Amino acid sequence: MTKTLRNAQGLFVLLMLLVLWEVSARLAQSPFMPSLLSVLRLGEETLRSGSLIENYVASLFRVLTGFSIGAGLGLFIGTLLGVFRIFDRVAGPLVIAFRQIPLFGLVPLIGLWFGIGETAKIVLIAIASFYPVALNTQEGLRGVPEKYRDVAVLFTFSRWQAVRHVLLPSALPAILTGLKHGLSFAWIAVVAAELFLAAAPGLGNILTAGRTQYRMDLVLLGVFLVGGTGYALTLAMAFFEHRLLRWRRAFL
Amino acid sequence: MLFYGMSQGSPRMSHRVFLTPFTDRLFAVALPVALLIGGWELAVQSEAFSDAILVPPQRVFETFVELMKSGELGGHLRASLLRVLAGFSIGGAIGLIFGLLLGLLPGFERASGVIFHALRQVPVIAWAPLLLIVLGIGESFKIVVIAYAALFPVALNTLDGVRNVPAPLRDVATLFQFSRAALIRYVVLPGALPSILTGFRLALSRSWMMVVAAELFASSEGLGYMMNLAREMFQIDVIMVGIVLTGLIGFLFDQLLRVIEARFSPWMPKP
Repeated sequence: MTKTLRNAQGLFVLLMLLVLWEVSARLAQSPFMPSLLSVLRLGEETLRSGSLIENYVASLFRVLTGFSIGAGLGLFIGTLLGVFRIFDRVAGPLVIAFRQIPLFGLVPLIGLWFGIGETAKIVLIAIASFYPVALNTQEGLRGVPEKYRDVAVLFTFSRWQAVRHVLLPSALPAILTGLKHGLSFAWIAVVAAELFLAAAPGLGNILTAGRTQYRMDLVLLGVFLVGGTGYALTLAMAFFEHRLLRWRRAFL
Repeated sequence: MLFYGMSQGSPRMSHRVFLTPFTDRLFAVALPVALLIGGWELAVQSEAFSDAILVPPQRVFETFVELMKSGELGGHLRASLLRVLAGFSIGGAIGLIFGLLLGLLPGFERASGVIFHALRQVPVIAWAPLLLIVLGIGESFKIVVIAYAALFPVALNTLDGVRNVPAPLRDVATLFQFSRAALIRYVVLPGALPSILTGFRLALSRSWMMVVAAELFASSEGLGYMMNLAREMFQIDVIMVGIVLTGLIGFLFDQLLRVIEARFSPWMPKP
């Protein structure tokens, strides 16, 4: 059986479920069970009024800001951890220890330290994306084959040159994996930040509004958007990864 | 030595300072801890931060002892642990069954694979508002959120494990003319076990994360609730106690599951 046909079967079942949802929602006529079409219509309405775009852009901007900060720091610290033994001995265990704290457990502390405004949200997102990037970078650098290191020695590279020309390119797949995980964590964190910290434009705001007004259609719209965007971000990252590692496949 | 790494165990790695494995380990733990506490204490001493933002480590410890004595912390701890246990068990069991069905029945995978992977894209936290409408703010909401968080890692890793049972093992089963039941019982399940256990470990850490989140939303007991209340009352020491405890428990959970993993799949290479 071909792959397309297999997918077609799955899509067919999905379609049947959606139809079932639509029909039962229309029969039930309950505000707690909005029909699929009404959710889509709501999406169209909010899109036209501009409120959807406003919330969407706010979340997207927030996640990119937080992720850039967190991933940048993660890359930096991860490189230090992977290259300098002393740094790894001293700071490595601390990074591991702090990582054990559940992300959402940090929300109250961040709330106290940074208020509940934009800064606090960015901090939460940055923390969420920091760990996967830092730890994967470190692991990637550690896993650089001995012979590559020998090449650097042979070329009498300085430490910086070795990092730049040998270690980082060799660790690139691991780093990209870290960035991918970091981005998906950042996306979870942005939703959490918007739910738990003060209301501000964002997809979390749509979810909260739906919840407090008992409007299931609004909540479902939010769920669709969060899920769809998360998936799109993952795909974008995978594409980016594929492009960046092209030389590697040609080389190996 | 220009670089370190990879050379662990090879002659290149030199222990110039740390002589024996024991002192080596002792230093590996003591040094970062001392640095952390020292840095913390120093930050407090510098008086650059107000009392409402940073309290000395020793105050956090005192608060911990106090909360322990009054039984308040014990209650919150119990509530959170019971919740995570209930949610993790339910979600893990469903995830295991679902993963096995996905892995063993191609028809089932064809039919529900698309839906499963679509649902997987939505962060658990985004479902919380919906579940709050449907289930209210009671106990069932929390258990469902935690169970849902546990379900996916277990199902996914089970599916992965069942699919990736090494071909030679399957060949042996064919050679022995195993029935399908025997194939599953003696080859597929043991072969998938390491991956399944990894799924359970990831699931427990997700569950632990979600219990805190669920308690932040709505609850009257639990570590998340304690921390949230402390935030409203500006009790930074109580928040710190909560953070250290949730981190510690998360760590212990992880270690426990790693031990179980190693115990039940001794043939796997040690990480």
